[in-house]
Amino acid sequence: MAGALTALQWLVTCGFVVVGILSVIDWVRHRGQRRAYLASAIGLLGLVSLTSRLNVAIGYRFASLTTPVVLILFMASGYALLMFRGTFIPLRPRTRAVVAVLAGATTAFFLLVAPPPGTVQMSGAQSIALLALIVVWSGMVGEPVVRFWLASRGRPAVQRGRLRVLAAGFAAIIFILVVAGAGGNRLGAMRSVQIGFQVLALLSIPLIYASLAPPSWLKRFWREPDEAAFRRAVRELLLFSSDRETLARRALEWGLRTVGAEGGAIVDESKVLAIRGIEPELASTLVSAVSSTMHARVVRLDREWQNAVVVPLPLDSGRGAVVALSNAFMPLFGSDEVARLEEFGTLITAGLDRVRITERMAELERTKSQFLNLASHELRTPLSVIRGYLAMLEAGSLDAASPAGRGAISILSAKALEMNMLIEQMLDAARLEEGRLVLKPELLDPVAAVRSAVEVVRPLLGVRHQLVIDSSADPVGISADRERLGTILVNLIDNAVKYSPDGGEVRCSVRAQDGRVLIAVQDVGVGIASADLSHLFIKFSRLSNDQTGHVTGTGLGLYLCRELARQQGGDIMVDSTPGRGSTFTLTLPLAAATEERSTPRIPLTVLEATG
Amino acid sequence: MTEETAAADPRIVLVEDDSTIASMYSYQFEQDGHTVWTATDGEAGLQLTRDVMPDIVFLDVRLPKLDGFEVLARLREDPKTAALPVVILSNYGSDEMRKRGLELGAQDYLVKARVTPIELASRIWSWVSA
Repeated sequence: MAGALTALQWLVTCGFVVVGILSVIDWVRHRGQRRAYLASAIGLLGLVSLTSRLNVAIGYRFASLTTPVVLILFMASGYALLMFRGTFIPLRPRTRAVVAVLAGATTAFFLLVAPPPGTVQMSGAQSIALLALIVVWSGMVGEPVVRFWLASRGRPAVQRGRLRVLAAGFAAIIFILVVAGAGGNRLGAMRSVQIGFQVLALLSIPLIYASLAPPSWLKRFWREPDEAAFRRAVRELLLFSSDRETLARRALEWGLRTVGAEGGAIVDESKVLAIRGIEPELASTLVSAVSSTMHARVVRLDREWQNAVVVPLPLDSGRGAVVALSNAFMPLFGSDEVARLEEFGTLITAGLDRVRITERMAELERTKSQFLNLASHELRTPLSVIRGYLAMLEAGSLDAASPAGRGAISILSAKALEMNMLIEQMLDAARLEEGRLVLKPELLDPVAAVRSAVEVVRPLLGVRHQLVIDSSADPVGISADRERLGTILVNLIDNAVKYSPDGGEVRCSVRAQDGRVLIAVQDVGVGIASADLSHLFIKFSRLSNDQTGHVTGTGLGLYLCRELARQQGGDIMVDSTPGRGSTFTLTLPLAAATEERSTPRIPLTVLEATG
Repeated sequence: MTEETAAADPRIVLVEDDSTIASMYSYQFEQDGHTVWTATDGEAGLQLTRDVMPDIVFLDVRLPKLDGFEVLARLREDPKTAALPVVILSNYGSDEMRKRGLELGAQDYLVKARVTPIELASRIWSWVSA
């Protein structure tokens, strides 16, 4: 029995020494004040255990020397644990001083009245000194134990586990000390109690070790209860988040929780989608660490006890990343956290892409119904005139032979034409969209094209507008699709009329310059603010303000015109002064540039001189 | 018919910015013996209605300066014109627009392409006497 007890005592001592050495190694490798305190607390405890064991083994031969040393080391280890706790929840300097004085005083008092080694019966003063010692030590260690236990609540699973085993390990040591101290030598004399203490002490070793460096199976075990909730939450956030920011915010929350990170961010190619507990500058610096890799990376930070995991997200919209910053109690991330975050990153990528597609679909849906609304309005306007006049002619309330009736008939044909133009425009836009717009280029005279466009628009004009064709230049040829050139010109002239509600001149001029033909349509209307010029040619983006809000249109016209021009090697430029009018210039390459053989030589120099 | 002959011919204000449509409706209304005033923007339409105090207003929605809904809201705010029959004539046929117009106090919301001037003229009494 005695042999077994001694063996057990040595086992405990070895255990404490090993954990002590491991904690010191941990500190040497990672440094930092916090680790230094923990290494001191555990390392000193190992040293105390070893010294006392040796003391017993050599029969207290140097007790007068070793006892004070053991005692001081023991108290110092308790104080170090309190300091360790102070790095989480700072202690007031006064509290720290009071505790230090108290620890020093009780140590001194005990040494003063210390019984000679081997004494069985202690005097009253000696008992009080021992009790004071135990109370102070238990206080120094017990307070952090309770603190850690309390702080563990609401923490991520792994952190919670680590704080709890640390608290449990030290609580076991306090328990042994308090019970042994209170029970005095009577309890100490009972072998079974002694063995019980040793077993308890033995158990506290792996607890303290696990808090220091938990193996991944233990982390998995700790996480287990969280795991179900995690999976449910992830499933929900991936499937049902309404927008990318919401998804990113919730995903970040769970990502940080699952690896026990202090802060982090989820970023898109150019945008921070979610961020928490980390400065945006640091986040973007960290993200750049994975700019050229598909794999997760662990980045060491300047703050020595901290590192970060950065996981690239190969998003549909470009590269993104998840960043997780290690926190004070879980100073450095290991391969377990990296693997988990990488796995999570795949889910986030899928989720963000899913929301993006949904958002894009919704946007398309909105654009579509907006277009249908506009288009139906545009088609109904000429249709209401056609139906109205036809009904009146039919019912005889309007006589076809009367001047009013003849006027109505010419309006009818103009409105039918307008409807046809609108329909052609919509069809061309659809063809363009699907890439099946086929152009049939032929050699055309631009002046003749302008003339026929003017004739198309003329019936739509009121009396307030004058259409002027200015073509002083020599005849030139262009190669273009006759119908589409007509579409462009009619649109430009029609716009010029629509956006000059007070009437005035609409001037169409044709000239050649640098191998190109320039057809300008100039009005003296409301003009366009320079800020609006950039979205003039964007599909469905109709400019709307006090002066133009009532003007009808599908928002397709200029988009279609520019696309049609570009498909034929040309372009449309705009020059406008608000309140003074706009000039839209269609440029197309001269036919000579593309069909040198079949067209006559064009005297460009002369044209430039006169133009 | 007795009703029609008994009362004076309803006097109409038509607010419509498309001159073709405006002259088409005017022609039919005048054929039926009504007196018609037309305005081509919202502000002018509001002023004209206050000046003339017609029996009914036909109001377009998309108008320069002041849109039809705004014109209607202002007519309803003014005690003098609050009870004036107003019929919206627009080519916007969405339910939201219709709902908005009726909530603002229009007697009816009609889509121009769905109703001919003859039909409109024949229904004038139903709005005026209502």
